[in-house]
Amino acid sequence: MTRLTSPLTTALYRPTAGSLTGASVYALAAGALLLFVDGLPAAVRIPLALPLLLVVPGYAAVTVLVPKPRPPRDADGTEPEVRPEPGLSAGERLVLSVVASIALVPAAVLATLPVTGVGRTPTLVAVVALTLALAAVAILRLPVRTRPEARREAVPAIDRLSVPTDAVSLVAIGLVAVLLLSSAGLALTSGSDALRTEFYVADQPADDAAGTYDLRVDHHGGSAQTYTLAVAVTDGSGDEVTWRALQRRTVTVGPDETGAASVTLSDADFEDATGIRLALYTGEPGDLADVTPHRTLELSVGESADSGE
Amino acid sequence: MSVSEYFGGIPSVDLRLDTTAAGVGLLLAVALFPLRFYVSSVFVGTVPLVLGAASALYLVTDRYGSEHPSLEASRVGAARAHQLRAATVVGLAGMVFVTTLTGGRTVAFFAVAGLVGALLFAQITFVRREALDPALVLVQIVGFTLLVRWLALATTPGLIGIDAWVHLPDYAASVRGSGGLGAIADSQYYSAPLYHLLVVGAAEVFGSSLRTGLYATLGLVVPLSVCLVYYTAGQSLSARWALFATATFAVADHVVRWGLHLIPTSMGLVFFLGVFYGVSTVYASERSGAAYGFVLLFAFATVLTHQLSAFVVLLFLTVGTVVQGYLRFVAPRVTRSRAADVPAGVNFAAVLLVVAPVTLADWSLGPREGEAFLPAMVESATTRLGEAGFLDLASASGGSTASVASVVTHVPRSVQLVDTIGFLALLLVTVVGVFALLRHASLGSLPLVWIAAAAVMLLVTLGMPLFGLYFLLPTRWYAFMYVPMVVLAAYGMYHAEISLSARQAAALLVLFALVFPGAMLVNHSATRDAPVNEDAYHRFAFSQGELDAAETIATVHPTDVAIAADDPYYLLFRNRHVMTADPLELASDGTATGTHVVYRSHLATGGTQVRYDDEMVRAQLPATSVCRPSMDVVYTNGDVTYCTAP
Repeated sequence: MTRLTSPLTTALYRPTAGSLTGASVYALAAGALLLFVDGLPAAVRIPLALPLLLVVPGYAAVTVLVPKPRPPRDADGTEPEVRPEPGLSAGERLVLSVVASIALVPAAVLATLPVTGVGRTPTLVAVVALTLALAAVAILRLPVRTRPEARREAVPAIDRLSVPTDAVSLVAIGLVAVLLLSSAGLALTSGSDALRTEFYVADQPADDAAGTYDLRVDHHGGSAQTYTLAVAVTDGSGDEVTWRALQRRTVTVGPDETGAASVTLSDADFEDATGIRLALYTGEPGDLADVTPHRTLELSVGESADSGE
Repeated sequence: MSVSEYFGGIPSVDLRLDTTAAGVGLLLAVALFPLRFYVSSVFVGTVPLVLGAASALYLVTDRYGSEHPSLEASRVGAARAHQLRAATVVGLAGMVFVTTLTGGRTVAFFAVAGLVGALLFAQITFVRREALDPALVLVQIVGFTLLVRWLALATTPGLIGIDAWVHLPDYAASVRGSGGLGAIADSQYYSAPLYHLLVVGAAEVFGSSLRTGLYATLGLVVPLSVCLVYYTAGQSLSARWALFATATFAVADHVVRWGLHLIPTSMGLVFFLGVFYGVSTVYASERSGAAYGFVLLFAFATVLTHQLSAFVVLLFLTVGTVVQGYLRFVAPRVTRSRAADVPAGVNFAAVLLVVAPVTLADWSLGPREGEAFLPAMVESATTRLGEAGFLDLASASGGSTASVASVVTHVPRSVQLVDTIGFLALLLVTVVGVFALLRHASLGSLPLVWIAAAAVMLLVTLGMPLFGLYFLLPTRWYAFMYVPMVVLAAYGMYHAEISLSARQAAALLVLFALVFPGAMLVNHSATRDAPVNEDAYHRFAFSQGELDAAETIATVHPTDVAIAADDPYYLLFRNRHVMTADPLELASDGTATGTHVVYRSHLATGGTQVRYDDEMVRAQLPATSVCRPSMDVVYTNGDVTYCTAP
C-alpha cells in the first residue's frame, strides 16, 4: 500500500484560503449552471447540485467555527486527553459539513422567504450568497502560517489501496462484480409483466336501475391493451342464480391512459333481475363462459335494506 | 469512586458507587418483577429481568472477574481482518442482489443483512488493534447503513410511513405551489419549516419531484449522520469501541425507522446527534467557544425543524444543567471537597439560557389546531396528566363476541419477544456500561449526563406508558435515547471484555454480533416498509396498486360522505387525498359497517387494524366481511375494492 494525500483530503483536513476559494468558485459556477442552463437532464442537475446543497455551505460554516485541523495523535496512537482548541479530522469535517449544510440551506431559504419566496432562483441565490459570505469569514479566521510551517505540517495520509493481487481480494472483487452485474441485469429485465388495470363505475343512474352506466378502465402498462366488457344481469333467485348476458363491447386503452365505455340498459333488461355484473376481460375472448374475468364489478338493482349501520 | 465521596455517606463504610448502583439495580429489578402479573406488556415482563441480569452480571464479574485485558492476544491479525473485510463487501453486494431478485426487503434480504451486520461487529471486536483500520470499518458501516435504508426507499412505491404522506404531498407541495409558508400557516410546522424548505428547495434546484428532493438530501444525510456517533464516542473511547457504538446505533431499530420514514423527526435526530457531538467536544476541549458554536447551531436548527426533537434537546440540556449544578454546588458540600476540584465540564446552564428562550418563543408563535403551539401542548399535557393512573394501559377489547373473536388477531408472544431481543440486548450492555462508568474515580460530569439523560429518556419511553401517558409520543424517543445508550453500551462491552476471561468475552461478543444486528433489523420499527411478521404488524407502505386505487377512488367518492378503510390505509385517504376517512368499524357479527368502504386484499393476511367497540383491534377479514353481499362493488383493481351501500 502507498500513502495518499489527495487535494480533497487536504482541503477537508486543513482548510486553506485556496480550498475555501475553490468551494466558493464551485458554488458560483454550479449555481450559475443550474440557474441559467435550461434543459439540463436530472442525471446532470442532481450530481451538480448535491455538493452545493449538502457540502459546500456547511464546509464554509464549519471552517468558520473550527478552522484548524485535529492535532495528530501521539506516537503511541492515543490522542491528547484535553484538546485546548478543537481541531477536526478530514472525516469529521466532512460529516459536520453535511449536517451543517442541511441546517443552513433551508435557513438561508427561510431568511430570504419574505422577499423572494421559494423557488429555484431564490434557493440558489440564497445558498450561493451564504456560501460566499461564510467562506469569506472562514478565510479571515484561518490561522496565519509561514510557508516553512505549512510545509512542515504534513497532512495525515490515508492508505491508498494498491491493485489487489491476493486471492481473497480477487475472489471478493469477482463475486461483487457478478452480484452487482446480475442485479443490474435483473433490474433492467424484470419490469413487471403483471397487468395493472383499474375498473370502476364513474357514474350510474341515480334512482332507477335503467339508464346509462359510465365505466372507466385505467390501464397502467407500457403498451396498449384491448379489453372486452361484458354486461350481464341476474336471472333467477336463491340458489338458482344465473347470469343473463346483455351486452358486450371492446375497448382499447393506450399505455397509462383511461378508457371510457358507456352501457345503457332499459327496464326490459332488468326483468326479474336483482343485480348487474360488469365483467372485464383482457383481449377479445370468444366464449366468455370459458374465461375468468380480469376484473368484475357487481351492482344491485332495486331497494336494499342494507344501510350499512 | 466511592459512595461516601459522592454522597457523603458513613465514612467507615466505604461503599463503591458502581457496586452500590448494581445492588440498587438488582433490588429495583426484584421490585418491578411482580408487575408482569398485572400488565401483559412485553417490556414490563422483560425489562426487570434484563436489569436484574445486568446488575447480577456486573456484581459477579466484579467479584470474580479479572482486570487484565486478555482477549487482545486471541484477536485476529491483518490477514483475517482482510478476509472479514472482503466477506463484508461481498455481503453488501449480496444485499443488492437479493433485493433485486426478490423485489424488496424480504426475509432473504434480512438474513443477508443480519450476516453482514455480524461481520461488521466481528471486524470491530475481533481484529487486533494494529490491524483494525477505523476509517475502512467506518466506510463499511456507512455503506451498510445506506444500503439497508436505500434498498427500501428504492423498492417501495410512494413513501414509507404515514406522516410522510402529510409532509410531502400536503405541506411541502403547498409550500412549493404557493411559493411561501402561508399555505401551512395553520400547521405547527409554520414555525418549524426547515424540513419542508429543504425538500422544496432541493426539488426546485434538482428540477425533480419532492420525493426525489427528499431522498437525495435527507435520505443520504440521515445514514451518514451515524458517523457523528463515532466522532462523539471517539472523544472518550478508543477507535474500536467508538466503532462499536457507531455500528450499534446504525443498526438500531428506531434509527433505521427514521432513515426509512423521512419526516422532520429524522432531521431532528440528525441535529440532536450534532448537539450531542458538540457537547462532547465542549467537554473534551474544556469549553472551546467553537464547540459551543456547534451546540448552538444544531440546537437552533432543531428548534426550527421539529418541536418534539427540540423538546428532547431541551431535556438533554436540562439534565446536563441539573447534573452540572449538583456536581458544582451539592457534591462539594456533602463530600466536603472543594468546589474548585470539580472539573469545569460543559456549561449546560448557559447553553440552556440561550436555547430555551428561543425554543419557547418559537413554540409560542407557532400554531397548532388554531391555537398557539405552547398553550395547546400545555393544556393537552395537563389534561392527560390528570387522567393518568398507574398501570393504566390501553387494553385489548375483552368483550368481543365469538364472531368478532374469530377475525381479531393478536401479536403472538413469541413474535413480541423476538421483536424485543435487540432492545433488551442493548439495554443489558448499557446497564453494565453505566456501572462500569460509575466505577472509575476519574468519572467526569459528561458521563454522568449521559447516564442521567438515558435514564430520563427511558422513563419517558418505558415508564410513562405505564401510567397511560402517551402525549410525549414515547415511540419517537427511542432513536434519541439510543444516542447516549450506544456510548454507554460501548463502555459496557469494553468493561465486559476486560473483566471476563478471553473465552467468556469472546462468547459474549460473538453472541452480540450474531443476535443484535439481525434482531434489530427485523424489528417491526425497522421494517415499516415490509414487516417480517406481516400478519402481526402494520405495513406502513403501500403497493403501487393500493396507491393507484386510493387516487382513483378519491375522484369518484362523494365529498360529503366519510370513507372507511383499514388502518393504516384510511390514513392515505385522509393525509394524501385530504378526505374524510375513518378506520373500518366492526359490528358484533364480525362484519364491517359503513356505507362507503374500501377493502384491500392485504386485509385477509396482514396485521392491519380496525375499530371495534371504540378500540383499535388487529383483524384479518375476508372480502365479504367488508364488502358485504348486499353492497355494490363500484371499483376494483384486483388488490383493492371499493363498495357502496345502494
